[in-house]
Amino acid sequence: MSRQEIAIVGAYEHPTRWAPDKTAYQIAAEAARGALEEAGLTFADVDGYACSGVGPIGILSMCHHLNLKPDWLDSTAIGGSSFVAQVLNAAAAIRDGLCTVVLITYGSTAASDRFAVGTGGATGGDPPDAFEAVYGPTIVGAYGMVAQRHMHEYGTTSEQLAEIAVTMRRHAGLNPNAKYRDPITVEDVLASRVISSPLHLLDCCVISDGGGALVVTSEDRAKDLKTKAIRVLGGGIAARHSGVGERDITDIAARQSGQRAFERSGVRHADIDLCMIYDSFTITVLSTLENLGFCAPGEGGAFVQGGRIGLGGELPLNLDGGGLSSNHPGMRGMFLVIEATKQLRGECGNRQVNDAKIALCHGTGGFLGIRHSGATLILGRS
Amino acid sequence: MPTKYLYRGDLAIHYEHAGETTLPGVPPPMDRGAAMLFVHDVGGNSRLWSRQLLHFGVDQSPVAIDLPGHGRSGGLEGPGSVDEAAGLLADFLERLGAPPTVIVGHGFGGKIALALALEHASRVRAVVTIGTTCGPAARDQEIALMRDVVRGRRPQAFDTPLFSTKPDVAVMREVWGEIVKTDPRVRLQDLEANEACDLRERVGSLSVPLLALHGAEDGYCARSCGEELTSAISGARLEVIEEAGHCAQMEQPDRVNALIGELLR
Repeated sequence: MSRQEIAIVGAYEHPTRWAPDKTAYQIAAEAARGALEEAGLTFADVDGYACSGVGPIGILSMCHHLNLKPDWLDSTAIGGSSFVAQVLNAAAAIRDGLCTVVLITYGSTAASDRFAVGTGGATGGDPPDAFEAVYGPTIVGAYGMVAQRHMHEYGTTSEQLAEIAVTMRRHAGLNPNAKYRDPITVEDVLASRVISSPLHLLDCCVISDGGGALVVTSEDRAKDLKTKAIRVLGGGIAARHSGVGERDITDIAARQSGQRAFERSGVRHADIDLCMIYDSFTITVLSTLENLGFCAPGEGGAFVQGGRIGLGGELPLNLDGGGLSSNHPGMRGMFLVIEATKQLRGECGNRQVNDAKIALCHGTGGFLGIRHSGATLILGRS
Repeated sequence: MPTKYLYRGDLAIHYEHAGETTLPGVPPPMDRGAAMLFVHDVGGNSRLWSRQLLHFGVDQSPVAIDLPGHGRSGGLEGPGSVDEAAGLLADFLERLGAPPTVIVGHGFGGKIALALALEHASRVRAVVTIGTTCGPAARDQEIALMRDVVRGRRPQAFDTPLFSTKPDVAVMREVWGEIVKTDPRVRLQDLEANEACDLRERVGSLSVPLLALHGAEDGYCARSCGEELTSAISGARLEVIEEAGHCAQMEQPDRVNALIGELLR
């Protein structure tokens, strides 16, 4: 018997970037309504539910808020990559007959709550912290350390990292909802103040409010729905940490999750028309490209230059403007999948990648170089 | 203070009031004593009127608004111009169902109050400005600094001209704590809108009473600005607040409240 194919049939990004009048729950609910309406479904059709970033048992409150009575629940909490992983979890659950229509939601008011994503002290409580907390690590500090190491090992330059930020801003200029849309130059990035050496302010993602929702179901169920179904071709999830003496901080979870994703989907690198790569910081993109195997370790700096990762280039990335310019309410994985889905449907207007057939999403969660997760998802037109 | 939202399309306008709490979508009553609307300065928000709302909330109907992009109002952009902001306030007062209202504006907010009184006179009972100039604000240096902040080249500065030379540190902390919440881009837009607006030709036709208050040690707006404003308008009154900088309503609330109170009688 052939494998049941799974599809994304609803993908809705909340247009807000600043919503002091709303709660995170409200944003998630509005996004859920958007994604379901798009597919021609209602909350009554949802029998599987996933969300993240709402606290330990917040998913129950979300069920209450949305008045859902699901047969399957998933509140995976592996940081920003959670929503990418949840698409894979949903696919497995649907294939296993646990549920038929999965709703995945995200809502956050990080910006209007003045939540210092990335710069506040972020560790405390788990056993390995005993060796870290004394030094006061921050998220941006961890990513900065990876960038510093990359420069030391391979001679990567700040100009090369800046190229990523400049490209994302160019894409954001094509996205009317992006938080920052005015073009910037490499010089602007280098002239912006250093947040954690060698990362400048413009090497760091924005902080915004926002949210989104996805609807995942079987391709059979998708046939009578309103949207063009986008197939889940395969994916992988991984965790990476510095335990048992593994100390190469440029070797990240994407290596493992990416390899699984390519194996399971049967897709080759050359088949990928566009990538949605978690860009919490510019170094995140560079490390991810290397670890996913788009270039060899150390070659990322040269790879991102020369327009390769821009719209019209060989491997266009983050066409919505990414976390660096469009939106980053704390956990950006959701938007990677939404934009990839819309690109594959051909709905992206002037930022549309020509004839996009296959897209790769990769989310990173946690502290790169310390403890982090990676989730890779490969999507294609049905 | 109770807070509410009023929606202009998708844009949420946040305001604080001192009346009874009401259901969502129902504006608070505005019929106790005088209707008063407080409008903040560049990069400010309604919290910088806390001492006025407490004082006037007892027997008047004060409301303090957050302009778009400020405080807890929505929008990534500030009002593009003084006239646009004045139009927004006229619409806001109409939606509140407020009778002719005393508009109290701080700095840039005072200029918006003047524009409102000039263009929508029927909505306004009187205008009080605090540290407002009717000409360009001549804050070029500050604009240049904010451009650098917006481009990430420098952190936001704590601006001391807001205060007198012997400020209360707790008040400074309170004011800065609010101003720093505003997106620097919005602050820059405010400064540019303020700079672009010159009401000197128009203020002569102001048809409502004007009280211009001025901190004696205002580092942003020299006393001559207040004199220029009041000399252009017959019946206008200038009062100088001693031991106060630009943010006189926070530094010397009792004196400011007393002067505004006289106007209400």
